[in-house]
Amino acid sequence: MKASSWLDELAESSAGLAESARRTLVAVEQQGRGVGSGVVWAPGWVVTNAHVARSKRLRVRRGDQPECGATLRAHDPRLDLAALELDADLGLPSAIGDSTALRVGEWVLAVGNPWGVSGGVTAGVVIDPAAGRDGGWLALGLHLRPGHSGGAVVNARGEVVGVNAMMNGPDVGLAIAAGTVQGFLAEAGLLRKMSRLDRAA
Amino acid sequence: MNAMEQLSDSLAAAVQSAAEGVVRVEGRRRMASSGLLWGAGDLVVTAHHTIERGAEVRVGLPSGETVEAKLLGRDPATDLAALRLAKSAGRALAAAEPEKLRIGHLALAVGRPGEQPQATLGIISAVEGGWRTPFGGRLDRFVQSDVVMYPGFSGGALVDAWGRLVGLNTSGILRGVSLAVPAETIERTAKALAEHGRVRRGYLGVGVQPARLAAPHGSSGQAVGLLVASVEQGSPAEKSGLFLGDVLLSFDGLPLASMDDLLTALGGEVAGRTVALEVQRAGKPTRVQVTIGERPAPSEEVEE
Repeated sequence: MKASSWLDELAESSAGLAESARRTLVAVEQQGRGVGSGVVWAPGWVVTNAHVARSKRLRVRRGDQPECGATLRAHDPRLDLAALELDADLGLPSAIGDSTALRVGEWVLAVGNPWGVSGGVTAGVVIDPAAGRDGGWLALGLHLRPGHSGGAVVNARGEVVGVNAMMNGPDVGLAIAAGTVQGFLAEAGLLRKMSRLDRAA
Repeated sequence: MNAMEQLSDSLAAAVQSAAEGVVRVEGRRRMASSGLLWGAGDLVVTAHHTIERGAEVRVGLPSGETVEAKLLGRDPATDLAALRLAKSAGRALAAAEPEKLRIGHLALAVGRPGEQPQATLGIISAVEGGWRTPFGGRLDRFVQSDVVMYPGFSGGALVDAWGRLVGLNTSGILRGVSLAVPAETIERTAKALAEHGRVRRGYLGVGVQPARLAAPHGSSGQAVGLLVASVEQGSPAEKSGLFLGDVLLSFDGLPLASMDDLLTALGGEVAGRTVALEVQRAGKPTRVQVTIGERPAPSEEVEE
């Protein structure tokens, strides 16, 4: 294969990957503190960071759909995770991947609303798929910025493998592994309610 | 599989294959660093600045086992240290062909500060010919990349997209810059450290400065020589009868037109050897035989 045509394919599949990551995204309005991000985890359910969802009632928006109310159903500041139940179904949920199958060096892409830019993406490779004291975090070589928090990290197949949490210096992002999120949802008794997740988990 | 998935798979495969030759080096209190299996797999090379003085070093192998290692020696000038394991722990990584390395090629830094390997991705930023470090060591090539040096990555591998070794990563030679010490430099230094416990650099004992010759010298038309501006007392230079005002033209047949030429000539395995210097003295060519001494080890310049 000619290098140039392969590069064209790479560019196309990278754009496709960004598109599928952007489909997982909702903007979470933080009263007076700008816009955070969230992941449509199951029909009618959004996962975001605890530090993004700091009130009982919130407003979220998916793409150019009308704004929708949401209720905080679970909140764990230690894991920095929160689950929101939406007042309306905002459409198709995301494909949740197996974060324990992530390999060092594989490609990941993170989506969010960095500095309020809607659906901004950043990409890089997995530095460490079992980071943090309990191994439930992902260390990633990409550029998370304020507003990415709560958005999805997807693998090269477009499956959600983590939730953006924080930057560790300018060039390293930390995300909460999808497996950790599933544990959090199970703990909160929400997995049963997210019927689709019973199959994914 | 689309192209992005292929790229992702290839990168993960390159890391997996490189990780077979990358070990953890526990040689300082703060945190472990990384190292490369070398030679027959019973040697480990790592970054000198990550091994504390007097440290009892342990090495974490790709198999997960942690073993004792003996520090064979260090070379602060190239920021390398060599360790010996009781038995072979695997194989050294295959090296990339240095002539094919180009600016812009993808490169992965692979380290193992913990149990499992870790990796960052970047590109080759600069490739140049031989280069002298600020500590006086000579690297066979200057290879800089923009990979993120994650904590504990010094001593680990910089590999190409196929997982082949480009060099040993260190941020201890130039601050804030990821340099890769090339395989030839590692090989030469590891050999010297295994044999002598140090890299022996030749000592002449002169201060010199470049000086234009009155007429081109020799068949190459050498235009510049090195004017002897000082001779240290008791040095090999003094013993051989070099004088102030002599102009050095060549060392063992190698032209001397710059300070770097002389440092390079003295950087080889020349300590203890008697070599011929071509000298211009009072305008006339002459030859001086000198027995090269050994430069005392520099103090611990890059010790953190």
